[in-house]
Amino acid sequence: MSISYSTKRRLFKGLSFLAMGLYLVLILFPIYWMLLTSIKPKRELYLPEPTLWTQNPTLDNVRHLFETTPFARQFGNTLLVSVVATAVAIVIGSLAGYSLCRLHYPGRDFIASAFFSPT
Amino acid sequence: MGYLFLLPAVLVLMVVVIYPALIGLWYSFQNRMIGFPKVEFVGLRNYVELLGDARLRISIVRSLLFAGGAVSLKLVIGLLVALFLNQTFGGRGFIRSIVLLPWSLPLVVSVLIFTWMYNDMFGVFNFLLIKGGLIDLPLIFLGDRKLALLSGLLINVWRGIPFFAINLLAGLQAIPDELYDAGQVDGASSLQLFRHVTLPSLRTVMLIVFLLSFIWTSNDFTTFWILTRGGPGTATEVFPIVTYKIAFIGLELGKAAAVPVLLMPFFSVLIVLLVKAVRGQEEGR
Repeated sequence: MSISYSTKRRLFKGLSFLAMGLYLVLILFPIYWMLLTSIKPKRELYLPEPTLWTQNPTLDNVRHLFETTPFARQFGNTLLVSVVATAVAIVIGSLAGYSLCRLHYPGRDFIASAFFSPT
Repeated sequence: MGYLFLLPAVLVLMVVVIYPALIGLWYSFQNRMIGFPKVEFVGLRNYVELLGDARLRISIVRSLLFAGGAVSLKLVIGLLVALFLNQTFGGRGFIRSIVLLPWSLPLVVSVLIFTWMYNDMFGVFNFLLIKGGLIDLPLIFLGDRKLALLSGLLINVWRGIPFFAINLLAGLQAIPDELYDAGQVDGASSLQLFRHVTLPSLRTVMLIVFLLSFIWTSNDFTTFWILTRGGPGTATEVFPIVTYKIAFIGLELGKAAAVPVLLMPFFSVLIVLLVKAVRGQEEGR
């Protein structure tokens, strides 16, 4: 008995969706677990059997973060560093990129390949 | 004019790349210790000592095996994900962005989540494995010599797949449809099309992501430092961790500076291959 081409194709497609679904569940689980852990009350974290879902979601951990650690300040520092670093990199990088791409002068290709080495 | 536009970038690179590299090279010929003001030039003594250091040798082999294993897994799974995402189906854009999520989290955060999940008493992995009937007793993920290394590998693979998937997806999209049409007219099966059209067209992209990821993975300090500090014992000491310990626990700054210099020939070869592959890709367009 031979299976027709289109059935085979549909079967393959179905299997690939199944595999992708499984893959997504697996890779998203750690992220789900992180979010879940962040809203679990503290006493629920150290049970002999972890709960896969919490009945008592709480924002206590978030409050703790803002009240007992300088989180707002740290977040501000991160923002400042990333914005300034990106801005500087864009200005310097676009100047260099324009020069390497559009202008012609001796040694250009050598300099262009030397830029690769830091990565 | 061209040089003038280039000047800021060159100055920045001088300060943040070339100067530290030269200083490191200079330190590697000294017996410089952190906290000891007396510094002498010792020639190649650091290198001779490092070459006789079994702990460093083992850690280098471990790093290369770790990187080779992790990158191969990432390549295979990333290719499968890319092939799937290249099909047309509803919600494709949404799925594509979800696939990127593990990559978008800060590395430190990812390692901490996994550390919590690996926990031998309260961790969810042991709970699920026991519930699923796969094991009877909890595994001590981070306390067992072999498991600890595999635990780190899992984190690296989990985080690294999106990079492969997205780059390979871009590679897949660059393959002209005509090649597939021609293959179908000649009566090729889907498997033959994959073997003779898809794989050869992806070869350069695969080489580039493989080399890049190999360099990053073998240089990965953060994962194992947060996960195990190189332990249990020395079981997960990859060479960046040994280097760090020589410098900041053994305080032998000069000796530590010699490690990267010692490894430079190897990584230089990888980088030359990488630049060649990138050039080839550009010419192919």
